[in-house]
Amino acid sequence: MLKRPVWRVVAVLLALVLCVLGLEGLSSFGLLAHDIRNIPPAPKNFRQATYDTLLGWVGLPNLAMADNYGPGLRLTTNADGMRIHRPTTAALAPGEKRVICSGDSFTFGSGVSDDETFCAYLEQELPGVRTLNMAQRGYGIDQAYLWYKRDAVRYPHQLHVFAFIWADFERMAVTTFTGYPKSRLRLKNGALALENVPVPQWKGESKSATALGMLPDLRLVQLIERQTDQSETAKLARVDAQVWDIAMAVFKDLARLNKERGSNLVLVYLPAPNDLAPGAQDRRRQWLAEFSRTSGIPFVDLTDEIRRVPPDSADWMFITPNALPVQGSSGHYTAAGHRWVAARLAEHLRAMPAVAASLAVSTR
Amino acid sequence: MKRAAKGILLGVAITVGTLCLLEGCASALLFVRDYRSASAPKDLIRPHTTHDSLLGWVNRPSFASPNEYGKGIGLTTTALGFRGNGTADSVPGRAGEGVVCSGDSYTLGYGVSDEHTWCAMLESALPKLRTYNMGQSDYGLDQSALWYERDGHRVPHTMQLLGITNAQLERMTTSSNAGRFKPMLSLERGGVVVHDVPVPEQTTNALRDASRDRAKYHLRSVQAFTQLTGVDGRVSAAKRVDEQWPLVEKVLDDLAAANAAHGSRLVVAYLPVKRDLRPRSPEDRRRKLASYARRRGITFIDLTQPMRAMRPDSLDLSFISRVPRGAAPGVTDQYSNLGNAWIARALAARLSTESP
Repeated sequence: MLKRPVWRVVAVLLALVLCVLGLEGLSSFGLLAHDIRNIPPAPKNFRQATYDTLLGWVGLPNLAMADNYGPGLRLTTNADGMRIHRPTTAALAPGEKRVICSGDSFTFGSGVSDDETFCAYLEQELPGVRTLNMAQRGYGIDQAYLWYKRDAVRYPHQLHVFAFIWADFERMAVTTFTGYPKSRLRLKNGALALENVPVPQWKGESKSATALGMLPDLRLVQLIERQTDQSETAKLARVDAQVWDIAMAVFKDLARLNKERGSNLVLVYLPAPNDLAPGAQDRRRQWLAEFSRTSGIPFVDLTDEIRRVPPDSADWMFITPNALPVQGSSGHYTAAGHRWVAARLAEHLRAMPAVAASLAVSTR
Repeated sequence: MKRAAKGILLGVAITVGTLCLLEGCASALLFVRDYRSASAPKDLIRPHTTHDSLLGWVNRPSFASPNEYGKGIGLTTTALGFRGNGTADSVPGRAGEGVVCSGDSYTLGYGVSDEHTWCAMLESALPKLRTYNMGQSDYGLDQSALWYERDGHRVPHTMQLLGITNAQLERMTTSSNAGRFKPMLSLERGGVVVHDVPVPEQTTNALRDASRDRAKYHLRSVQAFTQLTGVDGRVSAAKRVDEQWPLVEKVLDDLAAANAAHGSRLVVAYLPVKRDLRPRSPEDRRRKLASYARRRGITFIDLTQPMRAMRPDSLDLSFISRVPRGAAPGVTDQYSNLGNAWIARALAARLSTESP
């Protein structure tokens, strides 16, 4: 039997250990609170979208911001919030052909001027063709599809370039993106069904998303994370398990919609900085190519081509962290990057007889 | 009412306390795991280096690692262990004015191929020059100086171009670098004394202990202490450099004397790294170096301001941000091809206006 003084020592030691552990925990929460309090306000150029009950957000209509991303880097939108590089009417002039570009910020052209997006450059690559940029920053494949389905019908077109990057699959799995609520697609009895609509109203600016992103600083979260496979392959596989079938259903429905509208659909995988080196997302690209073969939906993947570009040149195709005086554009294509995408994409489009014929451009 | 309030208060206190305890336990558990599983970093000691009883580590002579920093981005060493083509330093009486480039990884060209180091590119910028790359990764100023004093005379040269970085000065104040044994200098009775030599053979235990030591920085209480007091490793290192500034000057004096003995002259170049480009980065050391060089009549080239004046995108691309597959660890933030080319051009522009 232990004597009383021994118990006292044990009790004191235990209290000491609890104090140390408590202090460690308190420090952790204190640091987190400090970091959350110091989250900087959202950059001004993020405030160019407006609430939309179906999509979560759409571009503000009739914007004309001369120096949006820096001196001379314009952002202009039409009455439907689509990014334009020239005055655009919904109707086409006789003989005019139109390409609609759907996608996220890579297609939208974050960080470049209206006439420096690959969608705008396509006009130079495919003479006689007019393009309309129907992309929006932060969109997942679901939102780009829903916007096209709802609003593109007013704009007659012969080709629909549906472009996406690897992260657009990830965005399909969530009902908020950077703090902004969005709708989500699900498959119910094999058919696409919408969730989270009407999308909850947002007030524009929120620190909650950034704050949520800081939670992995907590040691409890780290401990839990270490119990799961955090490799890129595992992360992508978890997303694919949720969204792959939905994405394929979306692509099939897009093909149907395009057929109804007298247009050809081409899916385009745009390489992001992550894609410059072989990685976990390569498997997704292989699946997409396989889907294209079985479904007959044309698919253009520019990844292998950009990997063949010498690294020194590829570096200049992406906006570097401090290149622009505004935040949020780093990692997107520079004007040189967009020009390269447009040139390569046009080459692929010309090689598709049906597409070339619908646009009345020469095949090469 | 009062009782209810007390109850609520107690409930909140218990919840907060429990959460803090849970978080503390999680942190302690992770710390113990990290500490116990810490091992010597596998790739820290590169195959192109070997033990040296004076310097700690040096390049293996006539070594070739064709994909050291990624596919086709190779590193080769000369018979003397300098970076460059295997025969570069073994041809006596080569044409051109010899320049020895000394420094750390930014001079070695960690992350770029032999021909893309700023030292190699100086030859294209100033064709009359013949350069010898005596840069070595993770070297302190002490090691660079000792290497030059020991081996610099083995190549014909009329100039030693010493590329100094902030980290190089800080490494001088420690007896080991991330667990790697190195010599240590001190100033005694006006002279430089070399300690910890012969440098013992590297042990994996020392590297593992350094890894273990780093585990403590993940503790949130340590992070909070650092944030509250503003005393982190960098501040302490800066303080040590300031305290040992007379030693820095003496080492440079000795280098200048060693150069003079070989009929060469010392040129000091301050090589800006990413931390020098941030707003409010410390300027003191550069000022001190400039002042020292003025007093001693040594040419001092500070590339910080010109680099800060670069276009932001060019500046971003002057440092490696995208790590090639299979590259040696730690290439991030070293000079890229573009960065090395810029440094070479900037140095050439200054050197071409200098009279020998």
